Amino acid sequence: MGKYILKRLFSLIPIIIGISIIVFLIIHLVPGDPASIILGNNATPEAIKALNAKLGLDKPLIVQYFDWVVHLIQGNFGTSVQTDQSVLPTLINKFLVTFQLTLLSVLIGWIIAIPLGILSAVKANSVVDFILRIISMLGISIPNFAIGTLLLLILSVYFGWYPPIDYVNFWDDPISALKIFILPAITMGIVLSAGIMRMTRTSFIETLNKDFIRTARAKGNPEGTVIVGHGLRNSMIPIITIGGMQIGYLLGGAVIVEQLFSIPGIGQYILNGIYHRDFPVVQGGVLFISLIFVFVNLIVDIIYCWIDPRIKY
Amino acid sequence: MSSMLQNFSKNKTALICMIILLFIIVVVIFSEFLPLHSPNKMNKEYRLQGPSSEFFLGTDQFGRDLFSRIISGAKISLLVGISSVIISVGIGIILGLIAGYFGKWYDSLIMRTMDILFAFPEILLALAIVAALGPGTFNTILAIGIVNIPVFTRLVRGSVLGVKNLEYIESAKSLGAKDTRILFLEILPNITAPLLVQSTLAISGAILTESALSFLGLGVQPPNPSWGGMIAESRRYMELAPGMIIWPCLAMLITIFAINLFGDALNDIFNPLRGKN
Repeated sequence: MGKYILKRLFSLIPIIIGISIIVFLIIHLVPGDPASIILGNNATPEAIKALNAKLGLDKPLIVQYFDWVVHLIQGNFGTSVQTDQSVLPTLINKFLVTFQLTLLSVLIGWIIAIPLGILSAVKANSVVDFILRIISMLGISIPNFAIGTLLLLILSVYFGWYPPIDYVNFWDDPISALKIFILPAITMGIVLSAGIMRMTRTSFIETLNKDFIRTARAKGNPEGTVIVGHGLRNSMIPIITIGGMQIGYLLGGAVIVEQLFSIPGIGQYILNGIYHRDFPVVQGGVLFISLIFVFVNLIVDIIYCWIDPRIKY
Repeated sequence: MSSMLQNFSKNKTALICMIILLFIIVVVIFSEFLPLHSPNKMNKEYRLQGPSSEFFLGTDQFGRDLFSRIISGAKISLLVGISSVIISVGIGIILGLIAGYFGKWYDSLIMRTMDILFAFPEILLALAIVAALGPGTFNTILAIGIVNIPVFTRLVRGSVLGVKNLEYIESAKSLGAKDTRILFLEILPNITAPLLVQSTLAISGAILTESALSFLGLGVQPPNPSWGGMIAESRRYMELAPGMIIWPCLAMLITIFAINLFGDALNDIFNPLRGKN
């Protein structure tokens, strides 16, 4: 197990280098001179030159890259052009908010999806199954912001309820924080649950056809024990795979949902960076989320290996 | 092929979805000849109206006709969806064929690069590209096109590895066929089925991403209508004109649902064994 983890860690090195190159190149994809685009039309040539020097854009490309990487390793993700604040501490603070949102979304997604997926599999090809499959297909056919906006519409117009606007920290005031997080989390949870439900159904049907399920039934186990105790455990791997793949969706989706519900998370921070052409923020944010995504995938792989030791490769 | 067509005509879902999609495409193509209001024409005296005989689905905050804006939005969504997938499929096929067929360091180089692109959450990479290139329809197409390249490269490479050592390739080789001939005339036709299924699903994914970018104001730029942009605008007027949210959502739902179901049905048709439980 230790050897496997080490091997996987080493294989991440080229990926991380590749990610850093692509993120580094973002600012060089900007048509024209980035500094004059950041500063706008009225900037003086001196100001442009100063900003270019500050961003290190006046050096040769390869030197710029190595300078940037050395700074990254030292924990220096640059400073925001807009606020002059260091990017990394802000990213970490904002990420904690996004993390809470993500956790709640996953929780809601799984609570909806696993029981419904199992129901769909146990009643395969019945009317219930058909309706559930249509619902899950609808769920992957509508973007999260549409679900979020529709939820807001229904709650505000028909129930007169508006989500609170001012953000509070979960640890200071859990109930108010939950009121803020619940709608965005339901929004993302609905989209997540559609994918998990489909996978749970497929995986479960496959497991239920296996011999050991027949044996478990033949031994006179109650149906509930057969389904949860034997079926669920053995169908978990594909379900966890989908869960792992969805982390990327969640981290990306947070950009949109945080914007929609005014949650001051990492997504909103990056988006503000994009709107204000604050490239250090955009680069730092994209790099930060991608690194987290890569490591979460590693953890998912290690979990497989732990659930099913046959998967070592 | 004929058995596939037979399967197709038997598959009711595929047929219904295809009819819906063809209907949408025909309406979009001939929308200029239909008696519709101009999608960008403002009518100040008709702001935020409900459905009427004049405005089939009502109007928005500038008195623009929602129905014609939704149809224009469909045009943009399909344009972005199809053209971005053409970019990803085109580049994906070339890279996948090279990686799978020639192997060695071509394979390592191409596939490691794809791994890196895969390491970004999709929407985030698209956002980063649009952030650099600037907002707009063309850059949106480009960004979504780039983001989807790895999916097709992996698919094509995998399929090439599956058929590369089969007898018919060997016999083509022994007849003296050139590599390009083998790649494009012998191998490619044999992997069209999975490519077609994946492309269909990628189009619906691309439309979703485009709508998200437009929702954030980074995709299709106003005043041009796009479903995502319309939903973003509607938020301020939701209590006065809920139709501004409901209709674009419904249009998007029907279109993407039909494409997804169609893709699923295609999958069942091409893989009759895998389609059943």
